[in-house]
Amino acid sequence: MERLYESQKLALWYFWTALVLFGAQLLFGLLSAIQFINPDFLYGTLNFMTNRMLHINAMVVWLLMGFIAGIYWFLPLETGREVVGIKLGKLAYFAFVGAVAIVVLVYLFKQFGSGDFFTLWFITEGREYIEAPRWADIGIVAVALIVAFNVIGTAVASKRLTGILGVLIVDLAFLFGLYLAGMFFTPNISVDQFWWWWVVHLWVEATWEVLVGVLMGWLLMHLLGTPRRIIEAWLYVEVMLVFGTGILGLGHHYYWIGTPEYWLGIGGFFSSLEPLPLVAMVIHAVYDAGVHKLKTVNRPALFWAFAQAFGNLFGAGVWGFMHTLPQINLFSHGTQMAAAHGHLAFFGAYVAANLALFYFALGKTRVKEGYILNGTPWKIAYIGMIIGIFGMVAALTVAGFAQTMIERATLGSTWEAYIQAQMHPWMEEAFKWRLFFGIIFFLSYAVLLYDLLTAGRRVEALKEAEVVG
Amino acid sequence: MAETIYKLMLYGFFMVLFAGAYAILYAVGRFSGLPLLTKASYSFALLQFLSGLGMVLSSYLDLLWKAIILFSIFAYLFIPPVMWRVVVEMHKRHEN
Repeated sequence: MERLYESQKLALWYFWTALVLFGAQLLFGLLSAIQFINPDFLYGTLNFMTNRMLHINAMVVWLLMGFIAGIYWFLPLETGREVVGIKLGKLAYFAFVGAVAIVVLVYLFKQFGSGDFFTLWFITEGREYIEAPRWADIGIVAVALIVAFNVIGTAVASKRLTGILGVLIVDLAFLFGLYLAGMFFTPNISVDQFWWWWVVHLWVEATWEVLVGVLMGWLLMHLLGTPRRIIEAWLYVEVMLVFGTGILGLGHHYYWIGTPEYWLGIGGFFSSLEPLPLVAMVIHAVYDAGVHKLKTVNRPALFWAFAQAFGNLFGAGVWGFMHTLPQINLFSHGTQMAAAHGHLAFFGAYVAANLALFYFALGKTRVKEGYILNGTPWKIAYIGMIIGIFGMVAALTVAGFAQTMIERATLGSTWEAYIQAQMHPWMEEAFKWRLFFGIIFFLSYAVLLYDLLTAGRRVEALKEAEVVG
Repeated sequence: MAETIYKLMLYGFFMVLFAGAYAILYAVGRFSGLPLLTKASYSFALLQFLSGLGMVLSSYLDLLWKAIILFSIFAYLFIPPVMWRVVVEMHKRHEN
Protein backbone atom coordinates (compact mmCIF):
# COMPACT_ATOMS: atom_id res chain seq x y z
CA MET A 1 0.00 0.00 0.00
CA GLU A 2 1.23 3.45 -0.87
CA ARG A 3 1.83 6.31 1.54
CA LEU A 4 -0.94 8.81 0.96
CA TYR A 5 -0.54 12.51 0.33
CA GLU A 6 -2.77 14.79 2.42
CA SER A 7 -4.75 15.66 -0.69
CA GLN A 8 -5.39 11.94 -1.30
CA LYS A 9 -6.79 11.65 2.23
CA LEU A 10 -9.02 14.59 1.38
CA ALA A 11 -10.01 12.77 -1.83
CA LEU A 12 -11.17 9.81 0.25
CA TRP A 13 -13.32 12.10 2.42
CA TYR A 14 -14.92 13.46 -0.73
CA PHE A 15 -15.44 9.95 -2.13
CA TRP A 16 -17.23 8.69 0.98
CA THR A 17 -19.40 11.79 1.22
CA ALA A 18 -20.26 11.38 -2.47
CA LEU A 19 -21.24 7.78 -1.85
CA VAL A 20 -23.60 8.76 0.98
CA LEU A 21 -25.22 11.37 -1.26
CA PHE A 22 -25.49 8.72 -4.01
CA GLY A 23 -27.58 6.68 -1.56
CA ALA A 24 -29.71 9.75 -0.80
CA GLN A 25 -30.23 10.32 -4.52
CA LEU A 26 -31.49 6.76 -4.95
CA LEU A 27 -33.71 6.92 -1.87
CA PHE A 28 -35.46 10.11 -3.00
CA GLY A 29 -35.67 8.69 -6.52
CA LEU A 30 -37.47 5.61 -5.21
CA LEU A 31 -39.91 7.77 -3.23
CA SER A 32 -40.61 9.80 -6.38
CA ALA A 33 -41.11 6.59 -8.37
CA ILE A 34 -43.69 5.41 -5.81
CA GLN A 35 -45.46 8.77 -6.05
CA PHE A 36 -45.74 8.34 -9.83
CA ILE A 37 -47.84 5.24 -9.11
CA ASN A 38 -49.59 6.50 -5.99
CA PRO A 39 -49.65 10.33 -5.86
CA ASP A 40 -51.10 10.26 -2.32
CA PHE A 41 -48.00 8.58 -0.94
CA LEU A 42 -46.41 10.96 1.62
CA TYR A 43 -48.53 13.80 0.22
CA GLY A 44 -48.29 16.79 2.55
CA THR A 45 -45.29 15.31 4.35
CA LEU A 46 -42.72 14.83 1.66
CA ASN A 47 -44.20 16.04 -1.59
CA PHE A 48 -43.19 14.86 -5.05
CA MET A 49 -41.59 18.20 -5.90
CA THR A 50 -39.29 17.93 -2.88
CA ASN A 51 -38.36 14.31 -3.56
CA ARG A 52 -37.63 15.02 -7.20
CA MET A 53 -35.60 18.11 -6.32
CA LEU A 54 -33.53 16.17 -3.78
CA HIS A 55 -33.14 13.24 -6.20
CA ILE A 56 -31.62 15.47 -8.88
CA ASN A 57 -29.70 17.90 -6.68
CA ALA A 58 -28.11 15.07 -4.68
CA MET A 59 -26.95 13.57 -7.96
CA VAL A 60 -25.39 16.82 -9.19
CA VAL A 61 -23.59 17.36 -5.87
CA TRP A 62 -22.31 13.81 -5.41
CA LEU A 63 -20.99 13.61 -8.95
CA LEU A 64 -19.24 16.96 -8.50
CA MET A 65 -17.75 15.76 -5.20
CA GLY A 66 -16.52 12.59 -6.91
CA PHE A 67 -14.79 14.64 -9.61
CA ILE A 68 -13.17 16.90 -7.00
CA ALA A 69 -12.02 13.74 -5.21
CA GLY A 70 -10.49 12.48 -8.45
CA ILE A 71 -8.59 15.76 -8.89
CA TYR A 72 -7.24 15.65 -5.33
CA TRP A 73 -6.27 12.00 -5.78
CA PHE A 74 -4.29 12.33 -9.01
CA LEU A 75 -2.91 15.88 -8.69
CA PRO A 76 0.01 14.99 -6.36
CA LEU A 77 0.81 11.97 -8.53
CA GLU A 78 0.92 14.20 -11.61
CA THR A 79 3.07 16.91 -10.02
CA GLY A 80 5.11 14.74 -7.66
CA ARG A 81 4.37 16.92 -4.64
CA GLU A 82 1.77 17.71 -2.02
CA VAL A 83 -1.03 19.98 -3.19
CA VAL A 84 -0.47 23.69 -2.49
CA GLY A 85 -3.05 25.13 -0.09
CA ILE A 86 -4.34 21.75 1.02
CA LYS A 87 -5.53 23.21 4.37
CA LEU A 88 -7.73 25.59 2.42
CA GLY A 89 -8.94 22.61 0.40
CA LYS A 90 -9.91 20.79 3.60
CA LEU A 91 -11.68 23.89 4.88
CA ALA A 92 -13.61 24.04 1.61
CA TYR A 93 -14.60 20.39 2.06
CA PHE A 94 -16.14 21.04 5.48
CA ALA A 95 -17.86 24.19 4.21
CA PHE A 96 -19.21 22.24 1.22
CA VAL A 97 -20.54 19.37 3.34
CA GLY A 98 -22.01 21.78 5.91
CA ALA A 99 -23.72 23.79 3.17
CA VAL A 100 -25.17 20.65 1.58
CA ALA A 101 -26.53 19.50 4.96
CA ILE A 102 -28.18 22.89 5.63
CA VAL A 103 -29.67 23.08 2.12
CA VAL A 104 -31.10 19.54 2.41
CA LEU A 105 -32.65 20.36 5.81
CA VAL A 106 -34.21 23.52 4.40
CA TYR A 107 -35.55 21.55 1.42
CA LEU A 108 -37.03 18.94 3.73
CA PHE A 109 -38.59 21.19 6.36
CA LYS A 110 -39.23 24.51 4.66
CA GLN A 111 -39.52 23.39 1.03
CA PHE A 112 -40.66 26.67 -0.53
CA GLY A 113 -41.33 30.30 0.25
CA SER A 114 -42.93 33.38 -1.21
CA GLY A 115 -41.56 34.82 -4.45
CA ASP A 116 -39.15 37.32 -2.96
CA PHE A 117 -35.44 37.81 -2.43
CA PHE A 118 -35.45 36.11 0.96
CA THR A 119 -36.60 32.88 -0.70
CA LEU A 120 -34.06 33.31 -3.48
CA TRP A 121 -31.19 33.82 -1.03
CA PHE A 122 -32.12 31.41 1.75
CA ILE A 123 -34.64 28.75 0.62
CA THR A 124 -34.49 27.99 -3.09
CA GLU A 125 -33.70 29.83 -6.31
CA GLY A 126 -36.47 27.87 -7.97
CA ARG A 127 -34.48 27.01 -11.05
CA GLU A 128 -35.07 23.38 -11.95
CA TYR A 129 -32.07 21.08 -11.26
CA ILE A 130 -30.08 23.88 -9.60
CA GLU A 131 -32.53 24.90 -6.89
CA ALA A 132 -29.82 25.69 -4.32
CA PRO A 133 -30.38 29.10 -2.66
CA ARG A 134 -28.07 31.93 -3.66
CA TRP A 135 -25.80 31.67 -0.60
CA ALA A 136 -25.13 27.99 -1.41
CA ASP A 137 -24.51 28.89 -5.07
CA ILE A 138 -21.82 31.31 -3.96
CA GLY A 139 -20.41 28.53 -1.78
CA ILE A 140 -20.21 26.16 -4.78
CA VAL A 141 -18.36 28.80 -6.81
CA ALA A 142 -16.00 29.41 -3.85
CA VAL A 143 -15.25 25.67 -3.59
CA ALA A 144 -14.58 25.48 -7.35
CA LEU A 145 -12.25 28.49 -7.05
CA ILE A 146 -10.35 26.87 -4.17
CA VAL A 147 -9.96 23.65 -6.18
CA ALA A 148 -8.70 25.75 -9.12
CA PHE A 149 -6.27 27.53 -6.78
CA ASN A 150 -5.03 24.15 -5.47
CA VAL A 151 -4.46 22.89 -9.01
CA ILE A 152 -2.82 26.03 -10.42
CA GLY A 153 -0.73 26.61 -7.27
CA THR A 154 0.53 23.02 -7.33
CA ALA A 155 1.35 23.15 -11.05
CA VAL A 156 3.30 26.39 -10.54
CA ALA A 157 5.12 25.14 -7.43
CA SER A 158 6.10 21.90 -9.13
CA LYS A 159 7.12 23.78 -12.30
CA ARG A 160 5.35 21.05 -14.22
CA LEU A 161 2.58 21.73 -16.69
CA THR A 162 1.59 18.57 -18.52
CA GLY A 163 -0.95 18.48 -21.31
CA ILE A 164 -3.53 16.85 -19.04
CA LEU A 165 -2.92 19.46 -16.34
CA GLY A 166 -3.26 22.25 -18.91
CA VAL A 167 -6.65 20.93 -20.07
CA LEU A 168 -7.74 20.58 -16.43
CA ILE A 169 -6.79 24.18 -15.57
CA VAL A 170 -8.69 25.60 -18.55
CA ASP A 171 -11.66 23.39 -17.73
CA LEU A 172 -11.69 24.51 -14.07
CA ALA A 173 -11.96 28.12 -15.23
CA PHE A 174 -15.14 27.16 -17.08
CA LEU A 175 -16.32 25.05 -14.14
CA PHE A 176 -16.75 28.04 -11.85
CA GLY A 177 -17.26 30.60 -14.61
CA LEU A 178 -20.26 28.92 -16.24
CA TYR A 179 -21.95 28.28 -12.91
CA LEU A 180 -22.22 32.05 -12.48
CA ALA A 181 -24.58 32.10 -15.47
CA GLY A 182 -27.20 30.33 -13.37
CA MET A 183 -27.21 33.09 -10.80
CA PHE A 184 -28.52 35.95 -12.93
CA PHE A 185 -31.94 37.15 -11.98
CA THR A 186 -34.26 38.47 -14.64
CA PRO A 187 -38.06 38.71 -14.66
CA ASN A 188 -38.10 37.61 -18.34
CA ILE A 189 -38.52 33.82 -18.27
CA SER A 190 -36.99 33.35 -21.77
CA VAL A 191 -33.86 35.28 -20.84
CA ASP A 192 -33.72 33.47 -17.52
CA GLN A 193 -33.95 30.09 -19.24
CA PHE A 194 -31.33 31.14 -21.79
CA TRP A 195 -28.68 31.56 -19.05
CA TRP A 196 -29.99 28.70 -16.96
CA TRP A 197 -29.21 26.27 -19.81
CA TRP A 198 -25.63 27.45 -19.74
CA VAL A 199 -25.35 25.76 -16.36
CA VAL A 200 -27.50 22.74 -17.09
CA HIS A 201 -26.08 21.99 -20.55
CA LEU A 202 -22.67 23.67 -20.80
CA TRP A 203 -21.64 23.17 -17.17
CA VAL A 204 -22.78 19.58 -16.93
CA GLU A 205 -22.46 18.34 -20.50
CA ALA A 206 -19.34 20.21 -21.63
CA THR A 207 -17.10 21.06 -18.66
CA TRP A 208 -17.95 17.83 -16.87
CA GLU A 209 -17.31 15.79 -20.04
CA VAL A 210 -13.82 17.29 -20.33
CA LEU A 211 -13.21 16.86 -16.59
CA VAL A 212 -14.15 13.19 -16.90
CA GLY A 213 -11.81 12.93 -19.92
CA VAL A 214 -8.95 14.27 -17.75
CA LEU A 215 -9.73 11.97 -14.82
CA MET A 216 -10.22 8.88 -17.00
CA GLY A 217 -6.93 9.73 -18.73
CA TRP A 218 -5.11 9.73 -15.41
CA LEU A 219 -6.95 6.58 -14.39
CA LEU A 220 -5.91 4.70 -17.54
CA MET A 221 -2.30 5.86 -17.11
CA HIS A 222 -2.13 4.55 -13.56
CA LEU A 223 -4.40 1.53 -13.95
CA LEU A 224 -3.22 0.14 -17.27
CA GLY A 225 0.05 1.98 -17.77
CA THR A 226 -1.23 3.61 -20.96
CA PRO A 227 1.55 5.97 -22.18
CA ARG A 228 1.07 9.67 -21.45
CA ARG A 229 1.59 10.68 -25.07
CA ILE A 230 -1.32 8.54 -26.19
CA ILE A 231 -3.57 9.75 -23.37
CA GLU A 232 -2.77 13.39 -24.10
CA ALA A 233 -3.19 13.03 -27.86
CA TRP A 234 -6.53 11.33 -27.31
CA LEU A 235 -7.59 13.93 -24.76
CA TYR A 236 -6.98 16.74 -27.27
CA VAL A 237 -9.01 14.86 -29.88
CA GLU A 238 -11.81 14.32 -27.36
CA VAL A 239 -11.86 17.97 -26.29
CA MET A 240 -11.99 19.02 -29.95
CA LEU A 241 -14.80 16.61 -30.85
CA VAL A 242 -16.89 17.12 -27.71
CA PHE A 243 -16.58 20.89 -27.83
CA GLY A 244 -17.00 20.94 -31.61
CA THR A 245 -20.43 19.38 -31.40
CA GLY A 246 -21.33 19.90 -27.73
CA ILE A 247 -21.13 23.67 -27.34
CA LEU A 248 -23.60 24.55 -30.09
CA GLY A 249 -25.50 21.33 -29.40
CA LEU A 250 -26.75 23.45 -26.49
CA GLY A 251 -29.19 24.77 -29.07
CA HIS A 252 -31.46 21.74 -28.65
CA HIS A 253 -32.51 23.26 -25.33
CA TYR A 254 -33.28 26.59 -26.99
CA TYR A 255 -35.98 25.24 -29.32
CA TRP A 256 -39.07 26.09 -27.29
CA ILE A 257 -38.09 28.74 -24.73
CA GLY A 258 -38.74 31.83 -26.81
CA THR A 259 -35.31 32.22 -28.42
CA PRO A 260 -34.97 33.18 -32.14
CA GLU A 261 -35.88 30.54 -34.72
CA TYR A 262 -32.30 30.07 -35.95
CA TRP A 263 -31.63 28.00 -32.83
CA LEU A 264 -33.74 25.24 -34.37
CA GLY A 265 -31.21 24.90 -37.19
CA ILE A 266 -28.08 25.40 -35.06
CA GLY A 267 -29.26 23.12 -32.25
CA GLY A 268 -30.56 20.42 -34.56
CA PHE A 269 -27.44 20.40 -36.75
CA PHE A 270 -24.87 20.15 -33.97
CA SER A 271 -26.99 17.82 -31.85
CA SER A 272 -27.36 15.38 -34.70
CA LEU A 273 -23.56 15.28 -34.94
CA GLU A 274 -23.06 14.75 -31.20
CA PRO A 275 -23.13 10.92 -31.32
CA LEU A 276 -20.31 10.82 -33.92
CA PRO A 277 -17.42 11.35 -31.44
CA LEU A 278 -19.08 8.94 -28.98
CA VAL A 279 -19.04 6.17 -31.61
CA ALA A 280 -15.40 7.01 -32.35
CA MET A 281 -14.45 6.81 -28.68
CA VAL A 282 -15.87 3.31 -28.37
CA ILE A 283 -13.28 2.13 -30.91
CA HIS A 284 -10.45 3.16 -28.60
CA ALA A 285 -12.14 1.52 -25.60
CA VAL A 286 -12.38 -1.78 -27.50
CA TYR A 287 -8.73 -1.44 -28.59
CA ASP A 288 -7.59 -0.86 -25.00
CA ALA A 289 -9.71 -3.75 -23.74
CA GLY A 290 -8.11 -5.99 -26.37
CA VAL A 291 -4.54 -4.88 -25.65
CA HIS A 292 -4.92 -5.49 -21.94
CA LYS A 293 -7.18 -8.55 -22.28
CA LEU A 294 -9.27 -7.05 -19.41
CA LYS A 295 -6.53 -8.00 -16.96
CA THR A 296 -5.40 -5.65 -14.23
CA VAL A 297 -4.74 -5.54 -10.49
CA ASN A 298 -8.01 -3.64 -9.97
CA ARG A 299 -10.82 -5.36 -11.85
CA PRO A 300 -13.78 -3.25 -10.63
CA ALA A 301 -12.02 0.00 -11.58
CA LEU A 302 -11.30 -1.33 -15.09
CA PHE A 303 -14.82 -2.63 -15.66
CA TRP A 304 -16.42 0.61 -14.47
CA ALA A 305 -14.06 2.52 -16.77
CA PHE A 306 -15.28 0.46 -19.73
CA ALA A 307 -18.89 0.89 -18.59
CA GLN A 308 -18.24 4.63 -18.84
CA ALA A 309 -17.17 4.46 -22.50
CA PHE A 310 -20.11 2.30 -23.61
CA GLY A 311 -22.66 3.92 -21.29
CA ASN A 312 -21.84 7.34 -22.71
CA LEU A 313 -22.55 6.06 -26.24
CA PHE A 314 -25.89 4.52 -25.31
CA GLY A 315 -27.14 7.15 -22.86
CA ALA A 316 -26.00 10.32 -24.59
CA GLY A 317 -25.74 9.01 -28.16
CA VAL A 318 -28.57 6.56 -28.82
CA TRP A 319 -31.18 7.93 -26.41
CA GLY A 320 -30.14 11.51 -27.11
CA PHE A 321 -30.25 11.38 -30.91
CA MET A 322 -33.66 9.68 -30.89
CA HIS A 323 -35.41 12.91 -29.91
CA THR A 324 -32.93 15.64 -30.71
CA LEU A 325 -34.22 16.84 -34.12
CA PRO A 326 -36.57 19.82 -33.59
CA GLN A 327 -39.32 18.21 -35.69
CA ILE A 328 -39.40 15.26 -33.28
CA ASN A 329 -38.53 17.21 -30.16
CA LEU A 330 -41.59 19.41 -30.72
CA PHE A 331 -43.61 16.40 -29.55
CA SER A 332 -41.21 14.61 -27.21
CA HIS A 333 -39.84 17.60 -25.28
CA GLY A 334 -40.29 17.25 -21.52
CA THR A 335 -41.85 13.79 -21.76
CA GLN A 336 -40.58 10.66 -20.06
CA MET A 337 -38.33 10.27 -23.13
CA ALA A 338 -36.15 13.04 -21.72
CA ALA A 339 -36.12 11.26 -18.35
CA ALA A 340 -35.00 8.01 -20.03
CA HIS A 341 -32.18 9.84 -21.83
CA GLY A 342 -31.15 11.70 -18.67
CA HIS A 343 -31.02 8.58 -16.51
CA LEU A 344 -28.85 6.57 -18.91
CA ALA A 345 -26.62 9.46 -19.96
CA PHE A 346 -25.75 10.43 -16.38
CA PHE A 347 -25.19 6.83 -15.38
CA GLY A 348 -23.01 6.08 -18.39
CA ALA A 349 -21.00 9.26 -18.53
CA TYR A 350 -20.57 10.18 -14.88
CA VAL A 351 -21.69 7.55 -12.35
CA ALA A 352 -19.57 4.83 -13.96
CA ALA A 353 -16.56 7.19 -14.10
CA ASN A 354 -16.89 8.10 -10.43
CA LEU A 355 -17.15 4.47 -9.36
CA ALA A 356 -14.06 3.59 -11.42
CA LEU A 357 -12.13 6.38 -9.67
CA PHE A 358 -13.40 5.32 -6.25
CA TYR A 359 -12.38 1.69 -6.74
CA PHE A 360 -8.99 2.78 -8.03
CA ALA A 361 -8.34 4.88 -4.91
CA LEU A 362 -9.51 2.06 -2.64
CA GLY A 363 -7.24 -0.39 -4.43
CA LYS A 364 -4.29 1.84 -3.64
CA THR A 365 -5.21 2.22 0.03
CA ARG A 366 -6.44 -1.28 0.84
CA VAL A 367 -4.61 -3.77 -1.35
CA LYS A 368 -1.01 -4.73 -0.73
CA GLU A 369 1.35 -5.03 -3.64
CA GLY A 370 1.14 -8.48 -5.16
CA TYR A 371 -2.61 -8.81 -4.75
CA ILE A 372 -5.57 -8.20 -7.01
CA LEU A 373 -8.69 -6.28 -6.02
CA ASN A 374 -11.47 -8.58 -7.10
CA GLY A 375 -14.33 -10.64 -5.69
CA THR A 376 -17.99 -11.48 -6.15
CA PRO A 377 -19.83 -8.49 -4.55
CA TRP A 378 -18.56 -5.89 -7.02
CA LYS A 379 -19.66 -8.11 -9.91
CA ILE A 380 -23.16 -8.44 -8.40
CA ALA A 381 -23.34 -4.67 -7.91
CA TYR A 382 -21.98 -4.02 -11.41
CA ILE A 383 -24.40 -6.35 -13.18
CA GLY A 384 -27.31 -5.36 -10.91
CA MET A 385 -26.78 -1.65 -11.54
CA ILE A 386 -26.53 -2.13 -15.30
CA ILE A 387 -29.70 -4.28 -15.35
CA GLY A 388 -31.40 -1.78 -13.03
CA ILE A 389 -30.56 1.28 -15.09
CA PHE A 390 -31.41 -0.31 -18.45
CA GLY A 391 -34.67 -1.62 -16.99
CA MET A 392 -35.63 1.83 -15.71
CA VAL A 393 -34.63 3.42 -18.99
CA ALA A 394 -36.59 0.87 -21.03
CA ALA A 395 -39.70 1.48 -18.92
CA LEU A 396 -39.31 5.26 -19.21
CA THR A 397 -38.78 4.94 -22.96
CA VAL A 398 -42.06 3.05 -23.35
CA ALA A 399 -43.79 5.69 -21.20
CA GLY A 400 -42.11 8.42 -23.25
CA PHE A 401 -43.30 6.92 -26.53
CA ALA A 402 -46.86 6.69 -25.19
CA GLN A 403 -46.75 10.24 -23.87
CA THR A 404 -45.31 11.60 -27.13
CA MET A 405 -47.86 9.80 -29.30
CA ILE A 406 -50.99 10.15 -27.17
CA GLU A 407 -50.56 13.39 -25.25
CA ARG A 408 -48.70 15.39 -27.90
CA ALA A 409 -49.01 14.04 -31.46
CA THR A 410 -52.58 12.71 -31.29
CA LEU A 411 -54.48 14.74 -28.70
CA GLY A 412 -52.58 18.02 -29.03
CA SER A 413 -51.03 18.78 -25.63
CA THR A 414 -54.19 19.78 -23.81
CA TRP A 415 -54.72 19.21 -20.10
CA GLU A 416 -57.18 16.44 -20.94
CA ALA A 417 -54.61 14.89 -23.28
CA TYR A 418 -52.09 14.89 -20.44
CA ILE A 419 -54.54 13.08 -18.13
CA GLN A 420 -55.46 10.55 -20.82
CA ALA A 421 -51.82 9.78 -21.52
CA GLN A 422 -51.03 9.40 -17.82
CA MET A 423 -53.85 6.89 -17.47
CA HIS A 424 -52.85 4.88 -20.54
CA PRO A 425 -51.68 1.34 -19.67
CA TRP A 426 -48.36 1.95 -21.45
CA MET A 427 -47.62 4.69 -18.94
CA GLU A 428 -49.18 3.15 -15.85
CA GLU A 429 -47.44 -0.19 -16.37
CA ALA A 430 -44.17 1.51 -17.31
CA PHE A 431 -44.11 3.40 -14.00
CA LYS A 432 -44.51 0.12 -12.11
CA TRP A 433 -41.65 -1.44 -14.06
CA ARG A 434 -39.55 1.66 -13.44
CA LEU A 435 -40.09 1.24 -9.69
CA PHE A 436 -39.25 -2.47 -9.89
CA PHE A 437 -35.94 -1.81 -11.67
CA GLY A 438 -35.31 1.14 -9.35
CA ILE A 439 -35.48 -1.25 -6.41
CA ILE A 440 -33.03 -3.58 -8.18
CA PHE A 441 -30.72 -0.60 -8.67
CA PHE A 442 -31.04 0.39 -5.01
CA LEU A 443 -30.27 -3.17 -3.81
CA SER A 444 -27.26 -3.23 -6.13
CA TYR A 445 -26.13 0.05 -4.55
CA ALA A 446 -26.35 -1.64 -1.14
CA VAL A 447 -24.08 -4.44 -2.43
CA LEU A 448 -21.75 -1.80 -3.90
CA LEU A 449 -21.61 -0.03 -0.55
CA TYR A 450 -20.83 -3.30 1.23
CA ASP A 451 -18.11 -4.04 -1.31
CA LEU A 452 -16.55 -0.59 -0.98
CA LEU A 453 -16.61 -0.80 2.81
CA THR A 454 -14.94 -4.21 2.82
CA ALA A 455 -12.87 -4.03 -0.40
CA GLY A 456 -9.35 -5.17 0.23
CA ARG A 457 -10.29 -7.93 2.60
CA ARG A 458 -11.21 -10.18 -0.27
CA VAL A 459 -8.17 -10.04 -2.49
CA GLU A 460 -6.66 -12.62 -4.73
CA ALA A 461 -2.96 -13.42 -4.72
CA LEU A 462 -1.36 -11.90 -7.77
CA LYS A 463 -0.70 -14.21 -10.68
CA GLU A 464 2.08 -12.97 -12.89
CA ALA A 465 0.21 -13.78 -16.09
CA GLU A 466 -2.80 -11.75 -15.01
CA VAL A 467 -1.00 -8.49 -14.59
CA VAL A 468 -0.34 -6.13 -17.40
CA GLY A 469 2.89 -4.25 -17.78
CA MET B 1 -48.77 12.55 -37.50
CA ALA B 2 -48.39 10.33 -34.43
CA GLU B 3 -47.30 7.42 -36.60
CA THR B 4 -44.73 9.57 -38.44
CA ILE B 5 -43.20 10.78 -35.18
CA TYR B 6 -43.24 7.24 -33.83
CA LYS B 7 -41.38 5.93 -36.88
CA LEU B 8 -38.86 8.80 -36.91
CA MET B 9 -38.01 8.23 -33.24
CA LEU B 10 -37.54 4.52 -33.82
CA TYR B 11 -35.41 5.09 -36.92
CA GLY B 12 -33.23 7.54 -34.98
CA PHE B 13 -32.89 5.15 -32.07
CA PHE B 14 -31.86 2.22 -34.26
CA MET B 15 -29.60 4.34 -36.45
CA VAL B 16 -27.23 5.25 -33.58
CA LEU B 17 -27.69 1.87 -31.87
CA PHE B 18 -26.62 0.01 -35.02
CA ALA B 19 -23.80 2.51 -35.57
CA GLY B 20 -22.51 1.64 -32.08
CA ALA B 21 -22.92 -2.09 -32.70
CA TYR B 22 -21.02 -1.74 -35.99
CA ALA B 23 -18.18 0.14 -34.26
CA ILE B 24 -17.88 -2.34 -31.40
CA LEU B 25 -18.05 -5.46 -33.58
CA TYR B 26 -15.68 -3.99 -36.16
CA ALA B 27 -13.08 -3.13 -33.52
CA VAL B 28 -13.41 -6.51 -31.78
CA GLY B 29 -13.11 -8.27 -35.15
CA ARG B 30 -10.01 -6.31 -36.14
CA PHE B 31 -8.34 -6.72 -32.78
CA SER B 32 -8.99 -10.43 -32.41
CA GLY B 33 -8.03 -11.06 -36.03
CA LEU B 34 -11.39 -12.65 -36.80
CA PRO B 35 -12.43 -11.45 -40.26
CA LEU B 36 -15.80 -13.12 -39.77
CA LEU B 37 -16.62 -10.68 -36.95
CA THR B 38 -15.46 -7.76 -39.04
CA LYS B 39 -17.67 -8.94 -41.89
CA ALA B 40 -20.57 -9.41 -39.47
CA SER B 41 -20.09 -5.81 -38.35
CA TYR B 42 -20.88 -4.67 -41.90
CA SER B 43 -24.41 -6.04 -41.49
CA PHE B 44 -24.88 -3.55 -38.64
CA ALA B 45 -23.42 -0.84 -40.88
CA LEU B 46 -26.08 -1.72 -43.44
CA LEU B 47 -28.82 -1.69 -40.79
CA GLN B 48 -27.54 1.69 -39.60
CA PHE B 49 -27.66 2.98 -43.14
CA LEU B 50 -31.18 1.66 -43.70
CA SER B 51 -32.44 3.14 -40.41
CA GLY B 52 -31.03 6.52 -41.38
CA LEU B 53 -32.49 6.16 -44.84
CA GLY B 54 -35.88 5.64 -43.24
CA MET B 55 -35.53 9.13 -41.74
CA VAL B 56 -34.28 10.62 -45.00
CA LEU B 57 -37.22 9.21 -46.97
CA SER B 58 -39.75 10.65 -44.53
CA SER B 59 -41.70 13.48 -46.11
CA TYR B 60 -41.95 15.14 -42.70
CA LEU B 61 -38.32 16.39 -42.80
CA ASP B 62 -37.32 19.09 -45.26
CA LEU B 63 -34.22 19.08 -47.47
CA LEU B 64 -31.72 20.54 -44.95
CA TRP B 65 -32.51 17.93 -42.33
CA LYS B 66 -32.44 15.14 -44.89
CA ALA B 67 -28.97 16.33 -45.93
CA ILE B 68 -27.75 16.32 -42.32
CA ILE B 69 -29.03 12.79 -41.71
CA LEU B 70 -27.58 11.64 -45.03
CA PHE B 71 -24.19 13.08 -44.06
CA SER B 72 -24.41 11.32 -40.68
CA ILE B 73 -25.25 7.89 -42.08
CA PHE B 74 -22.33 8.09 -44.51
CA ALA B 75 -20.03 9.36 -41.73
CA TYR B 76 -21.00 6.42 -39.50
CA LEU B 77 -19.97 4.03 -42.27
CA PHE B 78 -16.41 5.38 -42.26
CA ILE B 79 -15.86 6.18 -38.58
CA PRO B 80 -14.95 2.65 -37.38
CA PRO B 81 -12.27 1.90 -40.03
CA VAL B 82 -10.85 5.43 -39.91
CA MET B 83 -10.76 5.56 -36.10
CA TRP B 84 -9.27 2.10 -35.97
CA ARG B 85 -6.44 3.27 -38.22
CA VAL B 86 -5.93 6.40 -36.11
CA VAL B 87 -5.77 4.41 -32.85
CA VAL B 88 -3.42 1.78 -34.25
CA GLU B 89 -1.15 4.43 -35.80
CA MET B 90 -1.14 6.37 -32.54
CA HIS B 91 0.04 3.33 -30.60
CA LYS B 92 2.51 2.27 -33.30
CA ARG B 93 4.08 5.72 -33.39
CA HIS B 94 4.49 5.64 -29.63
CA GLU B 95 6.11 2.21 -29.71
CA ASN B 96 8.58 3.38 -32.37
